[in-house]
Amino acid sequence: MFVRGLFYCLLSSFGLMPTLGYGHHSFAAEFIREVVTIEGVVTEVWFRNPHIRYYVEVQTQSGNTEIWDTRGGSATNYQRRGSWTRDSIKVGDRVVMTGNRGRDGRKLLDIRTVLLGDGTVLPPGAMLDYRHTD
Amino acid sequence: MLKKFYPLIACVGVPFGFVYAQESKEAGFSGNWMLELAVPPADVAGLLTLQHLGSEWVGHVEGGPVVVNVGGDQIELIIDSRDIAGFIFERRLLGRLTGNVMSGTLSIIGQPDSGESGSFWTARRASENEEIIGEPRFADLSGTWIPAAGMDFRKYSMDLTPEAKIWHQDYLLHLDQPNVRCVSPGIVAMIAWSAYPSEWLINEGRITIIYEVGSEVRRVYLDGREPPEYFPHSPMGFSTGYWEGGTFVIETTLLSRNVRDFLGEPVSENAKFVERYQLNEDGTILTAVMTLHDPENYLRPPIRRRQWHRDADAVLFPYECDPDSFFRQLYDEGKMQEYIDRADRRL
Repeated sequence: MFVRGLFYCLLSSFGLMPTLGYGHHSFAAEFIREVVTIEGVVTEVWFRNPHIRYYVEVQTQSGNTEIWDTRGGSATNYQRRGSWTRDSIKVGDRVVMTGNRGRDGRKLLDIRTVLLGDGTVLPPGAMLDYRHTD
Repeated sequence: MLKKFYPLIACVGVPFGFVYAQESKEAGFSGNWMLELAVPPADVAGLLTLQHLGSEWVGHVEGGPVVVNVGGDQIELIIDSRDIAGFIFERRLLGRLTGNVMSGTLSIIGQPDSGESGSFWTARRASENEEIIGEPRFADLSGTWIPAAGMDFRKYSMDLTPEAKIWHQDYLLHLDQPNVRCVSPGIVAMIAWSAYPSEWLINEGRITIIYEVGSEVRRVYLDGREPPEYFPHSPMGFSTGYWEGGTFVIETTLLSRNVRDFLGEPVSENAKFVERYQLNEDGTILTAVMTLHDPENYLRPPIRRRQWHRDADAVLFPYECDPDSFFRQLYDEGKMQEYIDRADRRL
């Protein structure tokens, strides 16, 4: 709980940080600058190029569930660094993610940070090292 | 006798002289300039061209149009760029011409994701073909090259021909860009991506370049050969290379129809892509100026610049691409039919 509190405490500063790296196509085509936080359970893991993807089931305040399609950079760049691999986030994991919201209210998230249940925060370093620039 | 006309002379002559002096100063802006912005962590550089056509100033940076306002020895430039995510912002340059140098302050309109903020700029006289770093010399280009930050303006808009504008006006990035579905965007777009290394293998009469992204392979023939008959158009085209002084030049033709950059402007099958490479003194930094000659689509050739560091320990990783995420999203959002209906947009 403490870790999560600390994480949420840091979110405001994360939200103000410039995005440090992106995929090699225009993320502006699908995402907006607004940074949001979601919390849920991972239902599907896709650790491949052109970008990694996790489906996350989120419980809404009204008690409904919605599926978020969350995206990262290319799997190749993550693999090169070794500390965020295909095994880092598994189906069934509870995660708190921050990222850029999808356009037009779509349940898309361009991932900036991930908090795992054991307190691990991904990426462990600068996102620039994990997400590639154009 | 003349004295009584002094007021008239002053009335007409002084403003005329002032206007003449102003125009004389303003004429000094015309021509080609090498524009450099001090933008940490790495400077940005590009070719600025200024023309005085009638009463209008026309400006281009790296082949794309910019806003120009000139008054006396002062100038304002507004240059649209995109950040690494594809979001658009503008750089506003205010400065002054002193001799053959322009310099001034840089401010940002918008929010580039790089965090770039105010800074300074300079511009000095340049020719269109000037290489901006280092003296030319013969060099060994073999090895693995890691992209470096900076250099490229990421100029957003280009001077499209009327036909290209019509084709491009309905382009939808998230549906039409080839690489979102794991189709090669071609060498023109791909070579400017700054995240992936490449490996250069030097053989007799040939340089083979392996790019990590897309696991693309490219052969650059050094013996001046023509492409074989029936050689098809392709994303990597057909490349020949030669040394011009110490500059290694690659010319690529037989490109398939593709895209120039994030904006999705077209590259025609008749385009010629010219890359000019130079190595620094100690052989550790490779710099390229890359120009797309495609008069079917561009009134001025778009230019990009990149640098790479040599890294003997770097290993290229495999790069498999799976378009599942693209098609899955189409399915989830009910856009599959729209995608099918846009077949003509897929070049």
